[in-house]
Amino acid sequence: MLVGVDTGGTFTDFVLIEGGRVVFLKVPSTPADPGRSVVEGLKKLGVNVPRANVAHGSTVATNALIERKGGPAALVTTAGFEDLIEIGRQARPDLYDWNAVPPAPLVPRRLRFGLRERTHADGSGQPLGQRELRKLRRLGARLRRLGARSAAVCFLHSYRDGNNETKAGRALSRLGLPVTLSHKLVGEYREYERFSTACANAYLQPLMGGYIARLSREIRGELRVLKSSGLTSPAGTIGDEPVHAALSGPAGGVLAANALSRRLGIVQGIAFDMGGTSTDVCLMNGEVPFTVESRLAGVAVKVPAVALETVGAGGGSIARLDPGGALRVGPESAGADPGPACYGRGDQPTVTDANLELGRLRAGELLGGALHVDPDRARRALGRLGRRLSMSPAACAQGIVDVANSNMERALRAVSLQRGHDPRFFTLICYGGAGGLHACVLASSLGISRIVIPPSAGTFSALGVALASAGRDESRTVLLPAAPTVSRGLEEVYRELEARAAGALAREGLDPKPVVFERSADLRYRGQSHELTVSHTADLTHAFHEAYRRRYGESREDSEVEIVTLRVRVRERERSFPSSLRGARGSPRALERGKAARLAPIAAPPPALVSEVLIDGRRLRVPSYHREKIPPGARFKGPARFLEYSSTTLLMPGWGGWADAAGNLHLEKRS
Amino acid sequence: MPRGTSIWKSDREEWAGVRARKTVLTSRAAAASGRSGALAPADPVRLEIFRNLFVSVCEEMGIALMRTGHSPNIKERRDYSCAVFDSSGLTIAQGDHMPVHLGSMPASVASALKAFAAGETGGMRAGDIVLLNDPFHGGTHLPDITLVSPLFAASRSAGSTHRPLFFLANRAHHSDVGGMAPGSMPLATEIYQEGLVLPPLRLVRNGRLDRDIFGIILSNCRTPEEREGDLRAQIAALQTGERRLKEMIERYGTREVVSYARHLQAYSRRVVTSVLRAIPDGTYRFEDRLDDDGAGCRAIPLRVALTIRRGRAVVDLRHSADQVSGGVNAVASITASAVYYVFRCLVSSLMPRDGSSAGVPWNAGSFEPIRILLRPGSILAARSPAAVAGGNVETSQRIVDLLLGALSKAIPSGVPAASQGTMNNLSFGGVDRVGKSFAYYETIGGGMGGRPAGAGLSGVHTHMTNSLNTPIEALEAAFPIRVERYGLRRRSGGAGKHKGGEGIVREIRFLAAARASILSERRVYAPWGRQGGRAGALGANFIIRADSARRRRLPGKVNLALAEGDRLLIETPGGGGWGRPVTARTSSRVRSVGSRRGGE
Repeated sequence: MLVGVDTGGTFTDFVLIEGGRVVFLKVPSTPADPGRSVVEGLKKLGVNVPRANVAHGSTVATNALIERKGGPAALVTTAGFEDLIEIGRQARPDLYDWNAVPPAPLVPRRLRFGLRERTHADGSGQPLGQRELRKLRRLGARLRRLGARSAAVCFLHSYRDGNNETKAGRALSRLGLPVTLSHKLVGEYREYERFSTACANAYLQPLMGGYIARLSREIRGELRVLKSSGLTSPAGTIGDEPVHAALSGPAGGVLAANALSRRLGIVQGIAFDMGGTSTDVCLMNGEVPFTVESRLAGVAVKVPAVALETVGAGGGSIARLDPGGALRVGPESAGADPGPACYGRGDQPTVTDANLELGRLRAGELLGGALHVDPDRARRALGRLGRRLSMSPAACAQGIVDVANSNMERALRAVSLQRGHDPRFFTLICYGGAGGLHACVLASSLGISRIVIPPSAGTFSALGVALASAGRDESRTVLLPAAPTVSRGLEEVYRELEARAAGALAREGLDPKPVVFERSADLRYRGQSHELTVSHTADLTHAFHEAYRRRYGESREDSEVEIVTLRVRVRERERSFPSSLRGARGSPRALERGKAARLAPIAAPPPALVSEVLIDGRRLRVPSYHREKIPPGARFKGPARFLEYSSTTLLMPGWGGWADAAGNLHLEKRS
Repeated sequence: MPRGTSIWKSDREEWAGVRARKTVLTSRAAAASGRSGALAPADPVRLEIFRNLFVSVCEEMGIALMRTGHSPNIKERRDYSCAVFDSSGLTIAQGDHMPVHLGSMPASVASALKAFAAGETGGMRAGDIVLLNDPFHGGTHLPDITLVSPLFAASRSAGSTHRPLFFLANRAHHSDVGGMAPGSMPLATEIYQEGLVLPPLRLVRNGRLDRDIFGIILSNCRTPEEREGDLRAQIAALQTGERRLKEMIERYGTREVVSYARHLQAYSRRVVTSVLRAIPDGTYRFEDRLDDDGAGCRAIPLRVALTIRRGRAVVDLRHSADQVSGGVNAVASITASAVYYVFRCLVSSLMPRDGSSAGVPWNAGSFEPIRILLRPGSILAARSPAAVAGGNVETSQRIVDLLLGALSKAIPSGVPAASQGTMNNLSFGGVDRVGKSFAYYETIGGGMGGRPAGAGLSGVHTHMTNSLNTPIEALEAAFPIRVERYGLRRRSGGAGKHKGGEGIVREIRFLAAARASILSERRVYAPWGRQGGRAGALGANFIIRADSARRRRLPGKVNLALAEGDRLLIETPGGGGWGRPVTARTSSRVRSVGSRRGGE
């Protein structure tokens, strides 16, 4: 038995996988104490909490950074560079807004200390002397007085030689503070990003450590936490390295989408997750793409993270008339509180209100009726905006949906083109609560003709959390020319990184046998300042030219190539995707074994209801079907609606759909 | 009006001159009558959708340029701009991450149109691409090369001389276009020393590349292969833009696309006008100055008389100094960019803080309510053969200060104090110990002026630039230098209720002999405070020779020979303070007032 738990801003999602059964559940989140909703949900699922095996996607670290609720942490760094984390990259937060305020630095000036030491680019340098170490010991009292609860040690060029950091770290540990060493956390060059990541880790340690400790007291079986990379670590490790969880929010969904694509034989998929406040988009070419260049809340976080783009458009995006007379939707969101007008607290019309007015959503359908909505309040909000636009509430609603789609289209197009792909050849894997209503229109305008909507699309991310494998990433900057003569040196570094990762995993209790080793390298043309990561091969140079051509359209075969950083990932074998997800919420049912192959077509079942939906200005009678009751192979012609507990899908005219044995809906544009 | 005054009132008239302007007006009239009268009212939904569409044409051109370009400048620093223009050469939408291109892109299109006006040279035809970099004919500084192409209605075949529906343009900063120093931005006294000057030329005719022109360009650059790659990328990007525009026309129809292009211009005009209306009518004067031109001319005055009247602005800069022999001259289009930048920020600061301002396209409509009066031959509208490389990076900053100073008299509570007002350009090069040559250029951040909403930011790039620093660990791995100190300059921010941001201290030790040059400002005249705030600290440049412990002060603009072991110490200016400084005695009272405000 395995439970995946994904905490979100509004809801905490659960998926329980046991033998052949899959159960989904959603409970309201408890932001003040996020652990409470986790335990509550487990109990609701009938799980024996103390002995449960849980994989957990948490937003505690993310929120602590955004809301600046962590710390206080101290920073010990090379003398002369105490302000480096405040200067960052010298960029201001907004080019044209002279009132924009960046978030405060994670470590305030009074907690930043410089020591005389220096490592140079070639590894030589000045060791940390006894005098400086004595200075550090004397710092103890001052740190206590200033309330520091953790510390980061960040020295220049420590990726080359970490001895000075290690010495300083030892001295600090004697003061009883948890210590983060920058070279241990990020073995890569570029000081601001490494320092910033180490500071973020120290900043998160007290808070995340506390959360993990409390949760571990309840869940004493196995508790693993999802990292931004899509791998998991045992709770104890995350307590020490919380920064790895800081960008984990969207990772679960992408993992599940990628696993589903593989199972369905889809080579090029776009994971499309439209939620309440934003939409996450990830381009998958058979695997989940990664980046180490993330930023969160004004801070560089250089840990491997799923590479995705976020658009400020979701169900809660607020519509308004701007001073120039255009209808704008987002990026401001009504969020969970007050939420869309129809939730009964807010008065500003949102995308969800528009969908309700158009009949695409209906009262009593959200979360199986558990979420009360008020269509009249939505209409009043739309009416107020509509009057300013000289439009009826319905026309205003249609306008809001059109604008939201156009925002998402622009972003999706840019994301795919930037990575050198034509969106037309992709399949949209659509999940999240709000995506199913927009998928057909969005796909049409991008020239995409296939969409897959997994069952329980609204709790799909929790499934990804459950499926994530345990593992670790290690990296080290080497800065070597890509020549055959260096290959032995590379092999040594790879082995050392692998030994380090495997050793750590063994200490965490992972069985070393079913472990997979993955090597990759960051390369660039000499003189560039950005790298591309390629899987390791005997001929790295060739692999790099290829990757460069794919990304940028052209390569420069005659230019010198530089190997910047080596990476190693050590992880468990992937957990297999459940063969069917046709388990309904709360009502476990046996799964049929079945392939997702096309089935013999059968006619659509009788609809659960037929209702009026406004589509392109016309009021159409549209049949609605409960997804759990759709037999495999059933075919549909748009327009139709598909209802389930956590999401609603709208099949547009001009589109056809069918259900496979695993419960996925396949929508296809009819030519 | 003084003799020889040229009037800038939006991009329309810059390129125009009397004859061309007449063409625009008549063609407008013809187009309008062909569409049976005035523009139908805009649909707020369509307006927003077309805003997305036009902006994404620019974005996708940019992506194509970035993907196929060769040099790091384009691929990584994204020093480029892409834009779409209507049939008269008026901007519809433009990628806006380069403030210095805001007003200068339309000038390029205007210049191309003027050079290839119908009649004289047969006009621009389908399949033509015009190239230029001449700062005195639509360019900015020489490394910026701009390409312009027309887009005709689908029915017209190649070689058609029918009026284009749209124009597309992109500009990229090329890492070298010849001249006396690599990088083509030397401390020069004439434009000819700065590099190859290219007036509007037809690089592509009827779909075919003119190899003669291409050959001349490549033979005059230090890195011809890279130049060829980048120019080809610019051509490919124009083609991408063309494709996307044609798709739009197919999907929505010519009439709809053309009329929403006009709606978008009207939209931006409404936004800017509404912001200008928030400023009290009147004439506001301000004077600021440049320290020197690096060639002996000191205290160069810049003056503005800003008149706001009923939602329109007239920016009269004619009484600024004459052009100088050093390279701090700004051409008209750079001056326009700096002026537009200020108004652009004003839009952000006066509009509701809900993200609305972020999406307002900056186009001909936004320029329309703003008239800029310049005097050709002045430092803000330099004439050939003035050296102009520093106009982009230094004088543009001072123009911003000038406008802010004038605006602060109109809306005292809406405008920040002066920011560091320089980019602290440092370049150096030489031959390292193993005989390999090296060259490097960086700009250093400083203090932002105190703002109505709070203190200025410390150690950031301000106003006309936003380029990132190079990591120290990357620098030291690539060049024979060691950074000894990189920190904020304590107490350099001007005192005030909202303090100015702190400057940066950067100390670099040279591990090999090198030649260096510094191009910096605000070493003599400090960034001023506003509303009782004090000035920020002056910047300062020092050298500490290897054989001496003493630091010696250097001028703001200087060329130097450095020996192994020498150190350069650069202290960048702090921002001016905003509001009267709070003394210890009154602080608690003021703080409580402040917090009450914050809670509103």
